[in-house]
Amino acid sequence: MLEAIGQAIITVFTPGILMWAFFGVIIGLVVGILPGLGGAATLAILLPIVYRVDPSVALTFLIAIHAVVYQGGLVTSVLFGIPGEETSTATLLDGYPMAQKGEAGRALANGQTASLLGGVFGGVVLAVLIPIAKPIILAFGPPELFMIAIMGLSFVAAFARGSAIKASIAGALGLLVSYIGFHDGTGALRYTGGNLYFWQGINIIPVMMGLFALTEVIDLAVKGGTIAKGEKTEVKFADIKQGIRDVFKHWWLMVRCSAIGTGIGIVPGVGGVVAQFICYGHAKQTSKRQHEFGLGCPEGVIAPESGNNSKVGGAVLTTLAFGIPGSAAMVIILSALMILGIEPGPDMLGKHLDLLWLIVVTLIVANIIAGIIGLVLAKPLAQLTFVKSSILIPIIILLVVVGSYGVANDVRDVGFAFGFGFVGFFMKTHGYSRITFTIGYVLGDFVERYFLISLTSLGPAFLFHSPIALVLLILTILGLSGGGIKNLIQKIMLKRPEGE
Amino acid sequence: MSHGSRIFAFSLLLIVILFFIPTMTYTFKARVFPLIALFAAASLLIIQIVQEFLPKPKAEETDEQRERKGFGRKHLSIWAWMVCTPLMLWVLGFMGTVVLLPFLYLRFQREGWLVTILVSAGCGVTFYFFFGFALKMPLYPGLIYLKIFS
Repeated sequence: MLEAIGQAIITVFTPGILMWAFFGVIIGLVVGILPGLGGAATLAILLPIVYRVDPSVALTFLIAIHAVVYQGGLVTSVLFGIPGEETSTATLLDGYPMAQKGEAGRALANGQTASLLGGVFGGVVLAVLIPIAKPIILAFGPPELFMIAIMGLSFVAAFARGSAIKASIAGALGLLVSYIGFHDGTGALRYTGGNLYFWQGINIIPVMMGLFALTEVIDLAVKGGTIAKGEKTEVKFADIKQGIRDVFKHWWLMVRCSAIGTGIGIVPGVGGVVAQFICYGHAKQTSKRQHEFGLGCPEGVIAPESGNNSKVGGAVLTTLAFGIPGSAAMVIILSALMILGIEPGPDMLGKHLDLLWLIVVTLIVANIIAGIIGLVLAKPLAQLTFVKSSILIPIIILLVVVGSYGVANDVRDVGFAFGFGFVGFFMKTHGYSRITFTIGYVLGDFVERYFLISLTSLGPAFLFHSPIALVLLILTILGLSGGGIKNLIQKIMLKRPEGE
Repeated sequence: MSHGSRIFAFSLLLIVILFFIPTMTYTFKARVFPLIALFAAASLLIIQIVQEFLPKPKAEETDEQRERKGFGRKHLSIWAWMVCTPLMLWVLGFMGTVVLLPFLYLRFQREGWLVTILVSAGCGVTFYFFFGFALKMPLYPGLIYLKIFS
């Protein structure tokens, strides 16, 4: 095995292959930055490259693109409040307020450093777990997945700012919207009105674009000036250094969120959208500065970014070791392997060990290259928050248009994005949390699907069939009652001196 | 609580009630989760509406609320742009919107001709290069083009 690792490192650092990796990183970053252009679509467009070049070159190129797409996605999330990728939505919750305070450089550095370290963490875990991954993956069935989703939903309480009732209303409405479309458990068409457009439900990208980006556009147009409203008028290199230092200051949070991301990546079908919100919720629940979340807290950028990038390592592991792709991008990687005549699964661990390690090393190297590029570009990119709003607004609106349109090349998606823009504006004005709406929307279908599968296959007591699901249930209850327990302990501690 | 807040809560309740009607026509398995969400939303909205009508001590107006009050015309203007953009896309197509939207917006904001032309042309070239040329995205040509050439 050591020989295979050494060979993989030598191969990746060959100038020819390194150049392809670099090229892949640039494409991945650009695709990530441009809203609506999914990494999967880009991989599909570039898939024919596997016919023309050496297998190691093709795999290096495709993996490098996929490894850094999420890293690119954070740029527009921070600068304009537009999620570049759906997995960068949680990043904007604190990244954009930081930009509004004139700390875009720091926020970008937070995100880039956390992404870099998270990606490397995912790669290292992938390397370590390759020989022992099978029992871990097989341990996660429908009851465990159901509990992961419930755990995510429980964060609605953690995300609530202001009125808890309004936050819960928004969460319930998000759940409701997630049920629009074809129900694969029964074949029913729910709330479609007989319209084909709604069969697959409402796509998440137009919803996010509307709820977050367009709402901020309205605010920006009304207030005028620049995105950055703080006292700062320029981005300094010290901001970038501060951003890097923040990540090392919160290194334990970064490690925890990377572990959550990798764990979620390993489980097929959960996805980075869920991972980022679980990481963000976890960061908020465990932070001493909970009240600062949502107002521009660096931990709110570090947590989702380390989580969504480390997820790639976990997802690659499942794809390579079992041939089970957890996302559309992984399906393309799997197709590339099959075109090359490589059977994922036990074959990868035996006959093609060299290629497997090549992928692991590429994942790590690509993240390092992207991190360095991201940090170098952070300062000039952050300057965009000091550009006049009258120039930025039409550009942001166009990014929303192209981002929503690009999902399915359907003009109706753009209409939906603008519709949700108005909804988001009223939600913001009247204090209904857009974040809890998003959590409900992302997890609604997921909870229902795995609940019905678990119920059908294991009966009503399905949770008691799985120790992991029970542990997740206990963690959820502890998380929900965390505030209450903390208050109780504080009361006891305060009472003690009186008694003594 | 403001009238706007009450109207918004009532509108949400109305939407929830509208969702109830088709939900009852689904099979048990298909309606159980939507019903949970609907009941949760409806009961919480009723509590919220009751709270909205309860007399409360007048809270001090925040800076943001003060700012919002003072910008009626600006709100109207950006809302008009938000309504017009999808319509523009539908009628003029992707490339028409990409060039015309920044041009018109910048002119309405009284930006100089040079900035207006540079930004509009820059948007046209950049968006076409990335999405049309490099990624071969089928750019929607617009209703006018389709009517003339189909």
